[in-house]
Amino acid sequence: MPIIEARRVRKTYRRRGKAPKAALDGLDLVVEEGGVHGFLGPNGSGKTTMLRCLLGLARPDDGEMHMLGRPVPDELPSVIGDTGALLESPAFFPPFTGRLNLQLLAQSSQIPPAQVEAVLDLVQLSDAADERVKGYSLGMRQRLGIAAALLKQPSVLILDEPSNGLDPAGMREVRHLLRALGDSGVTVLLSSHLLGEVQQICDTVTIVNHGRVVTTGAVADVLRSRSSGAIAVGVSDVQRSLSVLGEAGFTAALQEGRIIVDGVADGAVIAEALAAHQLYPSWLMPVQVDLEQAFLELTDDEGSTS
Amino acid sequence: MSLPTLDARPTHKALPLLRSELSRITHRRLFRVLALLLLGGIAFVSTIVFFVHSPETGWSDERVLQEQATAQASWEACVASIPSDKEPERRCGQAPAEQPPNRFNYGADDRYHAYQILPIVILGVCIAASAIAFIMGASAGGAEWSSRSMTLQLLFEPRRLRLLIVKWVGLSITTGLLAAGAILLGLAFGAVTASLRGTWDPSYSEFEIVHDELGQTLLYMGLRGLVLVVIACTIGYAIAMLVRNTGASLGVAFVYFVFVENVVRFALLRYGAQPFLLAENSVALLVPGGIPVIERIEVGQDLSGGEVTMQLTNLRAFLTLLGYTALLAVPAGWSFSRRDVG
Ligand SMILES: Nc1ncnc2c1ncn2[C@@H]1O[C@H](COP(=O)(O)OP(=O)(O)OP(=O)(O)O)[C@@H](O)[C@H]1O
Ligand SMILES: [Mg+2]
Repeated sequence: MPIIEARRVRKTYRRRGKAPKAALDGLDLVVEEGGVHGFLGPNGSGKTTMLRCLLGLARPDDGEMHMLGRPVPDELPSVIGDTGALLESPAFFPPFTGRLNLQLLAQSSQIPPAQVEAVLDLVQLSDAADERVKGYSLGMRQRLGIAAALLKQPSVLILDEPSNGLDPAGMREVRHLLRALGDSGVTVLLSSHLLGEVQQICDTVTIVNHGRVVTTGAVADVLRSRSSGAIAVGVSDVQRSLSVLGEAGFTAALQEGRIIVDGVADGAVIAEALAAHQLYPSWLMPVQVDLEQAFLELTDDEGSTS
Repeated sequence: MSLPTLDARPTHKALPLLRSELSRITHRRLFRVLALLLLGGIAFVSTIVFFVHSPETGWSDERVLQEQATAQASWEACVASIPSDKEPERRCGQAPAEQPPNRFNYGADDRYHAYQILPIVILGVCIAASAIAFIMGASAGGAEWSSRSMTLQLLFEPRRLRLLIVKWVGLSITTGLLAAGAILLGLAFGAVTASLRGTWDPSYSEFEIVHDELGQTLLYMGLRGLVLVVIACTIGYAIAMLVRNTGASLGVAFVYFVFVENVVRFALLRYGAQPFLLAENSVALLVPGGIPVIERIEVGQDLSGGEVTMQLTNLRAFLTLLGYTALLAVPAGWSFSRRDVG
């Protein structure tokens, strides 16, 4: 059973004096139990809107959403106790200290005060906990937001750009924390622009653009699907090889000193074509795509994918 | 990097939420300052009142009788000067000889008259407390929107109406307790002043207090005052929920009381606006028995006639105020339960 399941979610914002804008255009989001699920997309692609809909903060125009098997937002009260969330910049009461902000939240849900200290400790904010949030730096606020999301010890953790504003050490800590939580059975939904981070810690990923899913699946599968058909070739006589491949009907181009042949599934045909002209490739290698490249290709509006 | 396992799952019950709301409210510095301002103001004014009163009466009994005779003579002259078909008694007032001959009637008594002043103390304290309660309500709503901390709370209690109602109950309890404290403080000062610088003689009072029921009159006034305070705080909170900003809410109240209500009062007086004004109804709720207001003005063809007054009773004032509150609170609750937040 998926922990989060959203089907055909639509949300249109009416704008004064302009055409209405579809922030979510029939978005599907399925997150299975456990592990870390990446939720990626360019600015304005609807990630935050989707998370706000899931958490009952925004009302979708259409679609069905389930969390932990319950329809949301109707039965959100029955699952909210198992759900921790951080949405974009966390909203604390600025004149109160970080500790008091968390204590009030804990008190309202009868979470023991010790848990407040534990999460403060976890995000390394214990020393600054008695300062007013007003005086916090961006990263400190973000840490406090992560602490608030963990306060309920949730089994579903929804994080919208949690690393925003964190220093390198902080980012690494968050990465380790999320990976550890994912391994311990918590379902983490992570919206992020840090594709390196996502590639490192996410098991599965959903990429959206213009409020629609572009691709979804295991990170490895997404990468594999993008790397098909491009092979780099190492030869000594680059110019002659290029013209030979061109005459043989391949789409070959010179990139960073290497020949890249597009649209070929098997490197053997390249080797065969070159060998026929006494050109022997020293190596053939499928071009590896990293998540950043896959993302950029998938979300490129003039791109070849759509 | 790990968390201690929680023994119990997070709950979402109303009572813990209310308790956290109460501590949220009492931790606000603005609220502490406002509470201090109210109580300090009462102490300050009461102290001045104490010192401007003297324990002695001004005139002797003979002097009072003499003044009364003079007043009676000029009253009779007044009555004689007006044709009898023009209701001379109504124009010249009550005959001085028909009133009890006390110093108070001639302004010669410097003492603090408990029966006269204690109801006024409650009136003043409750109106001041209502203003403070309005500001607290507006600020509670507005600050929450400007900091978006409501969004965070909705991630712990997604039932919006419930969250809103608990917040409102918390505010009402806080402002009500503050007002109760303020009333008691005002009365305590008043009692001391009456004992040391005045009199508990029941023959003086502007309100129609049955004389052995001062305590009961004050108690009921105080309770009606608490109702007014809760209404004020509710209106402030509701406006802030609608406009989502403290400053704008206070601005709305300012513009309303300084301009709108005065313009309406004078422009629409003859069409019967006065019984529906907030200020009149607030006072009418507090004053024992309510206050007389102008229901309409009737002008006959010979330009005779005049104001037709009515008694704006406590009950009617309460219902009118309740109606206005509902007019603001219902849309506020409805929009909060439906609109996108965050
Ligand atoms: N409150 C709002 N009113 C009007 N339009 C909105 C509102 N919130 C979001 N939008 C629009 O909806 C679209 C999606 O916004 P959203 O915040 O979900 O994007 P996002 O994927 O989170 O972007 P980012 O990566 O920058 O955080 C955007 O085009 C945005 O302009
Ligand atoms: Mg976003």
